Amino acid sequence: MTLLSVRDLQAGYGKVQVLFNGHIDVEPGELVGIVGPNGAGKSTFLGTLAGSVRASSGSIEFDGASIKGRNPEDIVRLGLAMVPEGRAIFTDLTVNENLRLGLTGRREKSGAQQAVDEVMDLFPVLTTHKNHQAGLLSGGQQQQLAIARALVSEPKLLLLDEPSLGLSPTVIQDVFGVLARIQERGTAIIVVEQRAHLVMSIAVRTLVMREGHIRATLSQSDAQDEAKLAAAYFGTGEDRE
Amino acid sequence: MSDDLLRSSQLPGVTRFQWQQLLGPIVVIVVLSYVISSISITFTFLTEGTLALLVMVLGLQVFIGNSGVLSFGQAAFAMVGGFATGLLTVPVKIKENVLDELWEPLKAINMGIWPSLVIAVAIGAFFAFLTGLFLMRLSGLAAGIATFALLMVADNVFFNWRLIGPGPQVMPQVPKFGFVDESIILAVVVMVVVYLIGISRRGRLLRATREDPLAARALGASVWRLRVLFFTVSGGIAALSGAMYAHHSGAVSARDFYLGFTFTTLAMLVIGGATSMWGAVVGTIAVTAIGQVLLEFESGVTVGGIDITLPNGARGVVIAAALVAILIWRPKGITGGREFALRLPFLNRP
Repeated sequence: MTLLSVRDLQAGYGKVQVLFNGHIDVEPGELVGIVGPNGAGKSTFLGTLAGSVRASSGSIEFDGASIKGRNPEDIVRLGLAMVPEGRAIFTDLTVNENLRLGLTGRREKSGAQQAVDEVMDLFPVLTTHKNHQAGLLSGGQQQQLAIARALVSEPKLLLLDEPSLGLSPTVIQDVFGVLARIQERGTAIIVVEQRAHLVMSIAVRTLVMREGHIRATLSQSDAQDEAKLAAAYFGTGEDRE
Repeated sequence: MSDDLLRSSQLPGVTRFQWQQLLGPIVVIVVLSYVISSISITFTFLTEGTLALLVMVLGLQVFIGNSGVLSFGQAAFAMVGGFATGLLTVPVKIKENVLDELWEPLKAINMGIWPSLVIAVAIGAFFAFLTGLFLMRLSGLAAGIATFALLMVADNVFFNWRLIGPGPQVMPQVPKFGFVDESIILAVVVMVVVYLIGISRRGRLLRATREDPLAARALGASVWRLRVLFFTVSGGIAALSGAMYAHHSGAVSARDFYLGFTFTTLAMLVIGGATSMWGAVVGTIAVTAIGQVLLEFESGVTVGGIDITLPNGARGVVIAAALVAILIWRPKGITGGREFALRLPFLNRP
């Protein structure tokens, strides 16, 4: 059964429409990418799935139920967790306290400690800094904490908004390496990124967005085809004018 | 690298239970209260009044400090608490003679101070819950204005509605506390409640909504539910403060809990530091101490042979100036939002 099925999704802010005819299908355990330039509507699309942006029309079916119009706090309890852009960790709290806040969104209240332990195994650096102030971690460690915090709710689908933002190339490789291990646990992932090559190398397919529309869907093999990628990313010469 | 990072015990608004942090402010308040009240009857009266104010500031801290939402309306619940305990404890004869327009069933009620305090807290919390259901959908400026409107409504109701009180007059003959001990016990109980709810999972979640509401919601936190819960607890504590004030002064009126009361208690919270219980304690002590010193100067004091008399109202001006200075130069208050831990050998187990 398809885990997430989105059709004809329209969303925006006030009277300004930002997302047009958004659509996506995600199977359990799949990793799907969304790429596109600044202002393409990628984060709005992700926010609409997570409930932080209201959809004006269209449908969002997640795990057999409609989640369109539901609150973010209800959606996370259904198994759809989001790591927002800029990480949004709570800097005054410790690493452990940040992680425990993530337990709020668990459907099953039992097994919480086990979930924390498993996530700590996935991110050993967090164990080292368990009792340290989260705001003083490095950018890469903060990103790992943000992902770990979302994972303790044991989501079926994890949404990541620009996880590479502000990170050095080596740290980006570490963060993306962890995504494969999360996928191995059976968690489906949608990653929004501006670095198209990075996402396309690990995603089963990648949607390319421009000006609020999904312009193309590229397969993993398309990542090698520079011309195809450039055409989808920037549009045709006519489009660019 | 780990040595460069702050440990949890050094962080502001620490969320792990530590006996030292709970006992620190309690010991300071208990010792100060007994020392100051032993000076004279006047100082006993001052101590009781300050403890009632401390409870109010703690009530403000538990909501404003944890949620980051400014409320001007908590004094409305102090009004509710003051009137509730007054109506429940003033002798029936006094009510029949002085409060002749009072609703008849209220005239017949009479009980002791302690059960009336419990009922006052319950009524205050109930009204906070009811109003919170609507007000807690607001944030920022809208929340500030709406809670201020709540204060105006409460003042107008209590100031004019003689069916539930003395109207613009004073409700007299409210039984007084016998000793300062009652006020100290109540303040300590409130400090324990405020500390425990602050370090609870819900307290931590509410502070997370204060830092980043969207991120907190993405983790499953219902901002509205958390705010309603803490607004209700805060309303109950504010009602206790109003009731303590009534049993301290022996009388109660609507204007006891209006703009002056609201400003003073908010100033105490901000000056001390809104994000910690210790901030509420320090702010209350600091503003009371400054107020008392300036009160002496308003009456005229001779320093080194020079007579100094400050104009009436100097207290208010200085406290307002201190508030502005704190907001500009130390927005987290004197304590910087940190708790005070009492370091005793037998409490310092790792």
